[in-house]
Amino acid sequence: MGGKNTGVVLTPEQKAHNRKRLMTEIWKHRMLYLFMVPCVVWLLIFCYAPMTGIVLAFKNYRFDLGIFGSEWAGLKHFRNFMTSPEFWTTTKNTLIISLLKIAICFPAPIILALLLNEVRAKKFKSLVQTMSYLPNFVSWAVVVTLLTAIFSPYGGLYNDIRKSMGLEAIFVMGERSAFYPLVIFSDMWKNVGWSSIVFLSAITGVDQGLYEAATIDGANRWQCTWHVTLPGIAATIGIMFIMRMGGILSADMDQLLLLQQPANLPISQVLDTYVLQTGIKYGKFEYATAIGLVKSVISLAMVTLTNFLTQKYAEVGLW
Amino acid sequence: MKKKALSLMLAAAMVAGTMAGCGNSNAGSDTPASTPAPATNEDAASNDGAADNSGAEAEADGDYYVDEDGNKYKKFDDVRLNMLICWNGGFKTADDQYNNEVAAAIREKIGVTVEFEGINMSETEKLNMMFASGDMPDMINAPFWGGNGGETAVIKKAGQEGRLIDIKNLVPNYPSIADAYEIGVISTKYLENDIEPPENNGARYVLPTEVSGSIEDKAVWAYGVFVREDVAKTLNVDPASIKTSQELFDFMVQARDYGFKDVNGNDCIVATTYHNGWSYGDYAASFDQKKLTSYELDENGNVTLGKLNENWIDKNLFLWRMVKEGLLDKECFTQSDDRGKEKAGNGTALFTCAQYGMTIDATKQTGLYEAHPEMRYVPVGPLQYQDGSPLVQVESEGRSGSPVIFFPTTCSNIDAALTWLDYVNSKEGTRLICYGFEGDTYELNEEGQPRMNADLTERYRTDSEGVKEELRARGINYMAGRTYVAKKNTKWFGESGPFEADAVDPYLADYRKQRPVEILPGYAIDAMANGFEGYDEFAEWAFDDSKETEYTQRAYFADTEDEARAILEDYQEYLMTNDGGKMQAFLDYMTEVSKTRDDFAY
Repeated sequence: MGGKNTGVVLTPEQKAHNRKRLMTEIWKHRMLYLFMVPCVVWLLIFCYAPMTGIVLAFKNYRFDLGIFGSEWAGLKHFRNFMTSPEFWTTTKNTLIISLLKIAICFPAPIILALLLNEVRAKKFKSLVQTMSYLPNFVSWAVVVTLLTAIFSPYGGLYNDIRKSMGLEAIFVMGERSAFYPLVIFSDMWKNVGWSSIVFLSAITGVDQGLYEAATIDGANRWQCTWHVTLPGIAATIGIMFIMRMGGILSADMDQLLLLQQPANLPISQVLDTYVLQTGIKYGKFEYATAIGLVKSVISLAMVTLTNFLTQKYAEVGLW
Repeated sequence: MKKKALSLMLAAAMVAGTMAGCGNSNAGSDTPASTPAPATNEDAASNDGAADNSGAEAEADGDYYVDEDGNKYKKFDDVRLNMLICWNGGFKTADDQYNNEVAAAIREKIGVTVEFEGINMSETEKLNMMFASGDMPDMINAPFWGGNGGETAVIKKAGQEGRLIDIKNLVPNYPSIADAYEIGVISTKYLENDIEPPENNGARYVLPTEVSGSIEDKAVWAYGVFVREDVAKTLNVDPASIKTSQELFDFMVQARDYGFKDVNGNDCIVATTYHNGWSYGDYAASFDQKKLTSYELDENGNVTLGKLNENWIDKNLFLWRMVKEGLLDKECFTQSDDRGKEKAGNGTALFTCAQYGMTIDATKQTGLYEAHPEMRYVPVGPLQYQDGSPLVQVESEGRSGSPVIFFPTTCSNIDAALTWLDYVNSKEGTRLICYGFEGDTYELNEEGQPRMNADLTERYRTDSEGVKEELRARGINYMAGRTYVAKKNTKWFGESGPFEADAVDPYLADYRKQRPVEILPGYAIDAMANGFEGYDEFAEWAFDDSKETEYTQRAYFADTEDEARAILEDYQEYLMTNDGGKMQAFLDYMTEVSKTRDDFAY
């Protein structure tokens, strides 16, 4: 972590010495490395080997010829996507939803972790933590079914309350204006607790001596949080932010696909749902792969850019 | 040392576990070298000794079963085949598909057992994934409605790209299914454009199913609009007097304003549908014309498309008004069949649409009519076409789209698969899979026709689902649903299926008479469309139903009529301007074609 460049130039002897030392360290911890092997194998097989399929984006796919046997199509699918009316709509929708989630849903688990850190009653803290983790295990299909039932204009809880107040029932799930709030609210409900775990664990790593020193200097709890806890977990926040930026063009397909309604389609069709629709539903595998590749390249660029910026301004980086 | 050994063992086990999932017993899509070559008729015949029911050579080849009508079937040595029922929503089967009584009886005769598997996902998605991965079953039943979109396009592509067995020269060897290609059973247009399009180079990959093999067996789907009887009575409206969509609209407004409740005392929805809005168009049916295709001739004799006209906008604005006025269920466009049935089954929807049988099934599942007989859904109208004639079920000389069965190149025994289909489509086989066993589940009447026994029939009247379940457990009356080819049940047995003559819902029987089949003469002009240069690429966007649905449903949720109209006109403009305005060139081509013969039907 950090990846700071000290600017020291090593001599060949020093490099050889470092290599030897590295090998000695690896041999010393060989059992740990051995346990790492399955994960590396898994990564190679399931994450790297399928990357060869990217070539599909440049082919005219035929069932019988397969990915590698099909004829080359050049950049045809990229051109088709870039010039299609869906390009701007889906890209714009994806960016809006992602940025909204980054702005609202990204800080939420940090705030929750900070709040939980201040809770002194252990049992209550455990209860709140457990309660906040549980929604993570509920699938999006169930979450959206619950939302549909709650907001249904026909017997839904929300509309029953409205009716009892003399208001008209409204079809919330089909209201375009309700789409973004629904996306953000459901995302936060489902993920905030689980995402806070990483920040809670980072908080436990903050040196307790710093709190004692701050308290002696007269800092109150808010000042301790602001001047000790937050700087203490800044590196973790930075890394999580870099990783989140990498997924800026992935706006949580499951959730959005399930929340799509005819009325909100102009703002809910994102790149991932479009890829699913064109790729698997309509069988345009090569076209969908091309979109996926464009998305991956942009994501990589975003990670690199964010990494550069966080390194420059916050001294935090992935590499 | 022990620790080290243990660590090594654990690590090895984990690596092995990781690798275990990587095996692929099938030819993958990216390994063309090992992909099975498309089987030709000759291959299949030589590999499996395709049944030759009349050949002396085949007779000498092994053991045969001869049924009561003298049909001869090759007997196999316990061949087990699997068949994918590629219809979203699953397929209910016997719990034990191998050991149930019907499967055992079929096996005893021809030595073949077919086990079914359903799906709960989009049909097109499933087909695409299956053909791309090469992981395919022995037989597949899927929708094939014709044209260049959806499942039809995927199946055609799979055939042309070597994923399916050419059955053209095989099927004639199996007399009980061979008539599926006869004109009259299917239309010329279907045969020439979809079953055996020019791109197939003379091959046929699909076997049409669920088509009628006799005039008596033409299926009457009984589409329409249905209303809770108590609603009509309370509002003093005779449902049969409603003839236009506007009259229906006014009736619905009255129903909405009255404030009816469902069986649980909850507020009612005025009108709903079944899965994904199926089929809200029934409410706007009087905007339609009685014709076979989506093409029409304008006043100047030029061919045009219905969706480019003002009437198409008017029809969709009518549906917009239904949504806007709170008449059409806003959830219906994305709801499941189960949700739709729940709304009908609890009397929550005052009006339903689609096939009458769906609504009847929904009410049977909840027992609505037992507790609330006054809430029975009765037919509205039937509505009339734009020209004032009553709605009918329009058909051409034969079916122009149907479910189909096809055989992937991975089919382990095409001969056994076709023999099984041949047997279950014979008179004896149909009776076995539909009615079960004489003296046990059915008796023969004076005309020698099977009728389910009195006990089952009596119970079916009040608990059809329970009786179906009981029969299904024994393997009776579920296979035919997806395996009959050219249906002849009524011709043979005097009823289209078990219980139909004795326990069919009288309301359904009556409504079927009100929505009869009408065969329109002529050659459907849409069959000529694929002669247009670059038609495949053009049709991809010009006849993309999902694009049209996307626009129209967006329009239904517009705040104002002007906004809705603008969305609909946007779609028309997209059609006319996309791809450099190719639509006009296409319509000009169709106009020219329309002058080439005088029997075109529109």
